[in-house]
Amino acid sequence: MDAVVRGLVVYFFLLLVFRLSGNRTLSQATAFDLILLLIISETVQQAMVGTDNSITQGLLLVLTLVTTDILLSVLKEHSQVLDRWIDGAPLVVIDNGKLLHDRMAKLRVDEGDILAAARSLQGLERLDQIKYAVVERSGEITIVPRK
Amino acid sequence: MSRIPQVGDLQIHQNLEHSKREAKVERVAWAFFLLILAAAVAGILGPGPLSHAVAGTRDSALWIEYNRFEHSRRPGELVVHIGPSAGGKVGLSLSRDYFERVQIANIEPAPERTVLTPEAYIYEFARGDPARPAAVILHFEARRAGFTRVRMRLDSGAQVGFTQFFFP
Repeated sequence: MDAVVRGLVVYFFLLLVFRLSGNRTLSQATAFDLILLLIISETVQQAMVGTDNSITQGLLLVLTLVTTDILLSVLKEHSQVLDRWIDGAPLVVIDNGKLLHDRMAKLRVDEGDILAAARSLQGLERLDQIKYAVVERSGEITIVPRK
Repeated sequence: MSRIPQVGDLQIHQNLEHSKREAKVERVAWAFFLLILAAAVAGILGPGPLSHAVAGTRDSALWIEYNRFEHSRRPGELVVHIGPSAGGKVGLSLSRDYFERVQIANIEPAPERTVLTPEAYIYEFARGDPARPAAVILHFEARRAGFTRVRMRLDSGAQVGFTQFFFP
């Protein structure tokens, strides 16, 4: 029982913390973000396993995490509200060439982030070449260029 | 087939009301995260300045340094200060209910002998210089989370009690 409870507590705690920290937090992993992820996984591993290093504990934890993930994905399929709260919703930050600064500020996205996405995804050079920019549910920025 | 909303020429499941609500919830959560961290630094969520406490009166026959808040499955310690006494031996009794939650890992210095009674464990120590105060350190680890009441008593009659909370 201990493994299942620990797995569930850690799963939902991480879901809550990463969801509330914003979509953009780990969307574009810099070298430091990668280190941060490694540290978090190591810290969380200690909390989940505790003093029980048995194979049973490890396998039960994996099963708990995977099953919880499957159950949540099934629930999200049936509820759009839950889906939005867990995975977020995409948000347009450039609408028909117009920068929407209030939305950008809320999402912690600046013009530099949009230009970087435009360069890497579409090979664009300037903001005026962008028709739409969207911050997706994953936190990534996608670009639709002007024709 | 579900209808996908349109923003300009873009078919997208954008929901401005949800995004606004989400941004508000995020800001409140960030403030809450800061509060939790401040509480942790202050010692409300474990050992720290606000957690450290003294049970009994300093420089009396028996007083104890402890943390009000501890973590279960983490080593902790109680520093038991024993004032000057008449005899060369001293008996320190610790209520048995404490051991339902806590496991004593080590006692420094090691007691000469341990006596079990229905209500308490009594640790007996030999004193090198009974006229001077001494300290005994109890290293422990809590097995379970929750509140626990600690009662300690010397064979001379001096006693103190305090409560600790163990976070999971």
